[in-house]
Amino acid sequence: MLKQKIADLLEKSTAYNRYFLLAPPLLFIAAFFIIPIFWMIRISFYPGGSFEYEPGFTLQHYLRFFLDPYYLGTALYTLKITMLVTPFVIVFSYAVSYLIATSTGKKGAIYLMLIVTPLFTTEVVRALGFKIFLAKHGIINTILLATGLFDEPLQLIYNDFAIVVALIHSIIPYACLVLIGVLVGIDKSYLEAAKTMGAGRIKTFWHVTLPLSIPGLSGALVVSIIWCLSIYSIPEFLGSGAKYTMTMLIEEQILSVFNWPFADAVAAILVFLTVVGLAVSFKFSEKKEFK
Amino acid sequence: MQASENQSGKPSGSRQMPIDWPDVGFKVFCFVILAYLVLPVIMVIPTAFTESVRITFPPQGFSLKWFQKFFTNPLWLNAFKNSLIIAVSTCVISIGLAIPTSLAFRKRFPGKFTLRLIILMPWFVPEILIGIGLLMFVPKIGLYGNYLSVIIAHTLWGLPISFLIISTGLNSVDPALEEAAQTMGSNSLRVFFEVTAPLIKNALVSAVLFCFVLSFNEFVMSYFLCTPDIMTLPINIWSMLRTGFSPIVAASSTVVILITLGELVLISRFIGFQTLYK
Repeated sequence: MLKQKIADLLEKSTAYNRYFLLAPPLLFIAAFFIIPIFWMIRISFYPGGSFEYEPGFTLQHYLRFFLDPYYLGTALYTLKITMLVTPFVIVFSYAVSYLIATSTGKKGAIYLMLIVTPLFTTEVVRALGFKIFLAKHGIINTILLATGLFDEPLQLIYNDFAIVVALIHSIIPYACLVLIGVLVGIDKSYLEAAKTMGAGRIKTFWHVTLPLSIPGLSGALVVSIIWCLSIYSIPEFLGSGAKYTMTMLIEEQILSVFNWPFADAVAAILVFLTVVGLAVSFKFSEKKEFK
Repeated sequence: MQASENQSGKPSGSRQMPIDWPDVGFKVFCFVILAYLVLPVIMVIPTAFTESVRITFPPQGFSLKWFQKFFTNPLWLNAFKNSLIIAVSTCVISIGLAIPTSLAFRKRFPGKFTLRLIILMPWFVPEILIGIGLLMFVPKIGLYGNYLSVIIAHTLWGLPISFLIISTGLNSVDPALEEAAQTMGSNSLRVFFEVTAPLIKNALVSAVLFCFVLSFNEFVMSYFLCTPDIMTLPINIWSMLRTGFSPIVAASSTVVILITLGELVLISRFIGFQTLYK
């Protein structure tokens, strides 16, 4: 009797508590994430240009982006980089994720540590690292010249090659985290069933593991595309400087040209692509990630 | 398919078998990728100990002069101080927000799925978009050029990650223990600090470490929000990299890398990185 009463009381108080507990984080996210993003999208419709813009509604910034070959070129260049990077990201991160998911004991933890190290190290330091490797007198060229196969250093930096190599490096950890989760979650009994029925290792992989990891693969694909579209410092630092990605265009428009509505329009296009990508990936991995 | 759970895992009997070439090939492939992931970060460290005035490889001679310059140059020290202030504040605010969030999410309630999605959302949205959004918005509330603007930006990352980690920690706590304390007359706050918090100590410490690492290394959001007064270490490294290739950049990067690695090792000691994909 008394126990029941206490339980009821607790239940009621937790309902109030819940709103009390959830209010601060939700207000925080509303105020500093949702409102700013919508504010940015709103400004992208304001008429105006460098240094000056006023409330109103116009599509001029979007039209300018899509109609001017130079600006549209940044989108195509970004797309080209994305298409060069993504296949490598998928294959490399799938292999490493498979290794981690099948490793036991300390080894798995060590591999995971090797993956999160570049993930958490600031991209500025990673960009510097790639410069040390790829520069004219960098590590790779020093080794190549020492082997005697080449007479003069190769141009490995300030071109698309450098961007692609560094982007693959940056994105693999994100893709891995998505893939490892799915691979670890695969029920072992399926694999044993396949084995009992006489399937070899490669057959088991092809017919069981790979189909079961499709949610992870689609997630990794979306992660890879979103990061390719939105990484700023690597193309800026390792690229030729002649060709701009969308993020470099945004940065230039905001910090050098001060055409904020136009920059916001380009950013809004990225927001749109991100939302579409996330919606697709949630559709695929609904149960997994947000149970 | 079990990762790193099995502590006693010694491959049994695989030694007697003949060499498994496909497996060896696969492992070599993976190790090459792992090397590709780690080396660009690690190889920055030796270049900081060079004697020459430019970053070269292999480094010439051995000297600590670039570290000495880093720790005596007011510009770099100021950036270091700013980074620490911002990272510590991010930890405090993120944890402060994440604890009540994770407590609320322990029970089922209507709208749980959507609310969870909203709280995790900033983690999935590219930082450049958050950075620009805040750059447009922050002057409106008078925070431009204030530490708070950058701290807010970093907390948008710190909150989801601490929420995930603390929630995982709370999963292993038996609610009966807390209810017992509550029926014995402790109020919720006391229950949390005296019963729950000690039980999820590892998760709390790891959440703090994660927030610190994220904030300390964050670049793009800070890049848009920082004024010269509140410049962080990655921003300063970036602006020096654009103008030259002095080993002082390698020295400061080494400081960042060593702090990051130290924290990551600590995290792996406390809860490991499994929370990131589970």
